[in-house]
Amino acid sequence: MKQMQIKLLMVFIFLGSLMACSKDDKIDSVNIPGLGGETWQKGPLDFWLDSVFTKPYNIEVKYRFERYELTLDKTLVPVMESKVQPVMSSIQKTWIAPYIAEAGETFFKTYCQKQFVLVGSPQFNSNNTITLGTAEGGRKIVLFWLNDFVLTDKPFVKEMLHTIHHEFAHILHQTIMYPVEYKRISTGYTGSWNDYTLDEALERGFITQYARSAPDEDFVEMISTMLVEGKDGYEAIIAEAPDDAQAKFRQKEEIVVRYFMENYNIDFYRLQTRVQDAIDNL
Amino acid sequence: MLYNRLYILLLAFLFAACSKDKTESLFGEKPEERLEEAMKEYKATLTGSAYGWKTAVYPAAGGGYAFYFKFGTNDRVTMYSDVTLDAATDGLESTYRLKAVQRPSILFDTYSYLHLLSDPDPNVYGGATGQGYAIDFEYSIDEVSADTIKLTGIANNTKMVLVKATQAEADAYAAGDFASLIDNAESYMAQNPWLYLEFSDGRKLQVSVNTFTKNFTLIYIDDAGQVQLLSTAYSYTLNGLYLKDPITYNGNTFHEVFWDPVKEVFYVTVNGQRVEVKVSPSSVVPAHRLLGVDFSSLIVPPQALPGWSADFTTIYSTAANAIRTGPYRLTLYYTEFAFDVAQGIMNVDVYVIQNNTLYLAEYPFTYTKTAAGVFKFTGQTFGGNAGLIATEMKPLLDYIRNDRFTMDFLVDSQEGKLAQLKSVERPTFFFSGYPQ
Repeated sequence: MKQMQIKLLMVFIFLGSLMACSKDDKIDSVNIPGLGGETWQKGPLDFWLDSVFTKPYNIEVKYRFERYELTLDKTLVPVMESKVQPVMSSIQKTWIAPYIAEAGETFFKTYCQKQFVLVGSPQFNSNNTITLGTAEGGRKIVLFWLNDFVLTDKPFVKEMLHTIHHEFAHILHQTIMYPVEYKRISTGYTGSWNDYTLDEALERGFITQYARSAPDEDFVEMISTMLVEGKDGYEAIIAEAPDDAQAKFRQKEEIVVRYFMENYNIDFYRLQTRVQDAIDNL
Repeated sequence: MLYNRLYILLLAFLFAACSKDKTESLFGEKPEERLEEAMKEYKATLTGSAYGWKTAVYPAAGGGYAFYFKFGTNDRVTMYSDVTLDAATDGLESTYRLKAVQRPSILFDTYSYLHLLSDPDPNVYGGATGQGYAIDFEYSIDEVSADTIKLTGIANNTKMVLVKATQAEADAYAAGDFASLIDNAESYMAQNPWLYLEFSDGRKLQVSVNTFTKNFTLIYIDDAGQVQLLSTAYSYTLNGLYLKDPITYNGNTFHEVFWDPVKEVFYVTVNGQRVEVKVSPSSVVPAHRLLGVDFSSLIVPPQALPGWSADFTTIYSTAANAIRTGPYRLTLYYTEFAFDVAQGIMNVDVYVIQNNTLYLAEYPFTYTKTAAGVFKFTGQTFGGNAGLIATEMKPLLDYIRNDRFTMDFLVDSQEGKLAQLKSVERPTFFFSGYPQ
């Protein structure tokens, strides 16, 4: 019995000493540089971005170059400070405002990308194309070639806004898939979409050449083209196509409009008008 | 017995558990503490230079570019540069930050003059598509001393040495003196294209400055009659041209070519002595000796250049008209007289456009050249496109086939330096082109 007691005592002492020998150092007394992310002295631009994007929608706008946010094997340069406000202001007016007006703040805050990364130069690809924008996982969107952004160059501005709407549409359909019959309307989806002309694409019912690369791209290109070109612009584009292609466009258009209404309760044509008005008034 | 051992083990744990892990750093402090201190120190050094820092970077492909930086404590930097005349005149403010990446580094994180050299878009400042000039805008700090900071670029290993600027220098940049120097020096060089240096041995060394490629070259003919080049990249300073590597000729070494704003001449300092760069009325090294060294072809556009004789102008424009109205409807783009000195070959390359596509009609020649620089061209067989327009080009090519030619430089206030070929037999036939 005594032996048992001694053993028990030993076990208790052992356990007790383990707990007694706790290290004193607390984790927050350790100061690791850079632990909280990038830091710099904030200026007027930072305060503006905070008030327009970060506080209302929790969107982070990274305009200062961060090498690891971008593809490592490409040569890229930062954006000009003077371009940041015009670019982001256009995005706010033509993307954030219309969606919120039509679908409400909660909708927008739920689905918007939370991180914008701004790059000054285009990204040059080995197949003689340049990348204007990329999006990752519904979370981050990278915009390129912003150093050439000029508000009066409407085609350039529209190209950039097209990218934003394109990527946002991806988030929407990756959340709720569009009707599968959409994929069967056109044929001839191909990975070498840039080998074909726009006319060839239109003939097959693809609104842009890139739409031809995959059904998902087709869907979002329809949405972004309809929004950024507006009703008149869109009608003008499909008027160029042969009659059987026009029928395909109308079918796709109908699916898009139905998709927005059924799944998100958005009147697509009203959204289209709002985006168009915003672009015209930039 | 077994249990006893177990309990002894447990007892051993008891003692072991209570020993505190006392690892002490050899440096006294933890790594993050040392890093934090180093970052503060670097920031203080950078911003502490009240009058800023000057430096130059040298792309691997050639040339040199000077920069002046003034770092603020608010993470903003003002810069001047010789990348363009505007950059030398107007200070541009952009941002930077110090970050502890692999090593403490300076990141120029919004667009500035420095980024012109990194821009992959060739429409911005030239450079290779998708690469620019392979110059960095993110640098890790190697070494800091009293008035120098040595840095290495992170992506391309660009070497940068920041040297503290003085108050006089800072004031000069702000006052526009940098832009004035570049403007005056380049105007002088455009008006006086034939410059030379002469040292104690009396040999004339032609000074050739290429303000586009930012290259400085001394050209001379050595005792064996060979053309020699001493070449290095340069960037501008408030005093003139600063050479990437010092140049040595026959024991005379200089690292800078100073601009004297009062006398409006260039000079070098060798062993404390001032040696002025003199002006020559013509090329010191004859044009034909520079063929294959400084340039290897003449580009002759369809529109008239200074240095074309009336005869040539008529014949050339007749040929251009003939091919345009002929069966192929060809527009003359330009004609290149391309020399391959090593092989003794000269090709008359006629570039034409048909339906927005560029085509080449090539007429090969071999040639000989006397020591005095008289060329004799011998036509070789040709085919393909050249054959199709041979008749229209014949009047022009006959001169090349039959006459001997001399080569010279000619300087025009608008077009700059042109190379000219003159017929010996028929002095009314001569023409010029851009040397390339």
